[in-house]
Amino acid sequence: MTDNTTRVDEFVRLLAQNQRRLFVYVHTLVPNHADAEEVLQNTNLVLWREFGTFETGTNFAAWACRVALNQVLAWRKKRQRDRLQFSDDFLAAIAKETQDANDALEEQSRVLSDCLAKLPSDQRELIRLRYTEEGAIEAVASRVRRTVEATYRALSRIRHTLHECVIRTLARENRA
Amino acid sequence: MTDELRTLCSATVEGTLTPEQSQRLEELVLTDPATRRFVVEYLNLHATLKWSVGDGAMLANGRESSDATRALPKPASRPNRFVKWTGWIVAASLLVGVGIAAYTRSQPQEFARLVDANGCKWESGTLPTESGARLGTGRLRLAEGVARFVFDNGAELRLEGPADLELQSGNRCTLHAGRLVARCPESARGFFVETPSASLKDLGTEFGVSVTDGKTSDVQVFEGRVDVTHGKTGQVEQLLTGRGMRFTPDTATPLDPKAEGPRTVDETVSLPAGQRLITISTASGKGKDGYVAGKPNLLHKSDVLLLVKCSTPNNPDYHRKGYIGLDLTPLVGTRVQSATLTFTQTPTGMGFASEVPDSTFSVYGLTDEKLNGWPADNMLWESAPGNAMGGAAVNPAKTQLLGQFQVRQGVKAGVSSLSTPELAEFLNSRKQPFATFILVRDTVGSGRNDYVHGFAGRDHPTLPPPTLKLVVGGAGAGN
Repeated sequence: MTDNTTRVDEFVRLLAQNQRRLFVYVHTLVPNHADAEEVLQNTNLVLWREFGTFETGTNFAAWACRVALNQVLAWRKKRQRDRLQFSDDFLAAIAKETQDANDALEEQSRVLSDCLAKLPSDQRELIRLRYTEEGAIEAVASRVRRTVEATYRALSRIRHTLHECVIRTLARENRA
Repeated sequence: MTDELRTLCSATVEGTLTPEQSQRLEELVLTDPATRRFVVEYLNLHATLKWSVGDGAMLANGRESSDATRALPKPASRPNRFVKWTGWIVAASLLVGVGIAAYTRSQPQEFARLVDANGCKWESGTLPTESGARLGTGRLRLAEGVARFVFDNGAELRLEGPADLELQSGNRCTLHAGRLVARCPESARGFFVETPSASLKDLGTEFGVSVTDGKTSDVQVFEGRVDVTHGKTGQVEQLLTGRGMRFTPDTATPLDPKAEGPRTVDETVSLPAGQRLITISTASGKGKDGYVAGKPNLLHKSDVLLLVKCSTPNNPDYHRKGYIGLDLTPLVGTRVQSATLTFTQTPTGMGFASEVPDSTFSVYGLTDEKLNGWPADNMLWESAPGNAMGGAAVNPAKTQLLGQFQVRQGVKAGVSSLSTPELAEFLNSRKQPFATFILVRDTVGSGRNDYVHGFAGRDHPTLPPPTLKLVVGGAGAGN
């Protein structure tokens, strides 16, 4: 029992340390939130089930991301009946780039909060609605009393602004 | 970056890509490294926004305080998501062993259907066992009959009792004991059947597998190809139509299915030396059962069923809680290794099942042994042992939660059971040779004549009463 408890503790600790990385990784490969949640749940399940094969001291994040990628592929396969948006090649390229660029992406995630804080409050509110509401863009549009089209464009602009801000901030940091 | 690329990225994250757009984006990503990087950054931004804004913690704060550094707090300060992510794992591991009740409860996703279970008899499991039920992760123990499952990817399993099957995901299951035949169409290529000694990967085919004595797997390919990975050596065997192999923990040998001899004992249940199985029900010894209602002499009552209902707070008369008393005399001088408490549900004809959502039932043990002398008939709400106000409440000073199980909406018949370390420990810590359990429904109905659940009691003419199955003895016997 004690051994098992220790193992559980270790698993929970490692998952807690890496949960953001894993969440972002899966969301990057599966942009739809509900779908990503499904994949994450399956990933968690497999991680826990296969935790016996994980060697303490090796890279948990890398292992977890490998498991997650397999789950993404399995999930896509299951969804084959639906219209598939992208090819496996595309997904593989995105997955590889995500891993190769991991450090830079982590940096971008880190400074994103500062960039969000710099947004005008109405834009920040729009982002909040878009990313907290379960509902789609239609729900956000009706909340802010704009057309779907306008909301869509606004969100697109804000994400662009945020991306530019992130790049600028990091460039400034690197000069300093 | 170009406007075109921004448009494509935006459409990707909002899910509005047209097929032409998606083709264009693929082309750009696969041919141009700079575009690939941009797309990944964009998706990463989208994902990070969901993570940090997602549960409302960040921008809700952000609006009230200008402290933007709080926007992306460290994982340790994110209890909500942490609980959401890991809570079920902790819960599952606390109920080590078979404790899959918590496991299933927090894994609501379903990926298969029990298409046909006609004539099947089931033992305690964690999944619904009626024909047509949707199934997610969990375990099924088929006592007899042939049950047919169809996974969403098209894979079809026919399970023959006695068998013990665990469903893990939309393309993976584990056969712990018994036999199954799997048929996988092209859509289900790569379906896995795990056994204690080997892992079978289906490559568009039909095959049979039989697990005996908890470790030997016999595989026969009827048609197509199966790749079998031997658990110990990792060696992969490619089996084609008509071939069979036997996998023991140590060896993999060709198999002649015609040489299979009759089985002399039921090998699906094997206990370690020194341990034995004991069954105790409310119908044995001094056992008893009954239920208590918010108001005595309600019109709707039953002599043969334990009625259970959690009514709305303004209808306290209709609360009902089951009481189960078990005579533990057969356990004196032994130690319980594991315990399963099983209830058999049957329709009550009282109320509308559609007015009650999927329901959680909790089983409490009565810790105050002075109260074991309750009357099985005409028990009063006020004097029922360990009772408290409220349709699902018990007196925490006199009771202890031992476990929970779920009943799906509209399911009125079938077996529910729980098997937790807490239950075994509770039985081991009794001073009297008697135990009282309280069964409550935690889930509140709509209040519009919502369904009263019913479980067979000791006087039911055909169905089994609440029953404890115990493995006793072995290490620590005689404590």
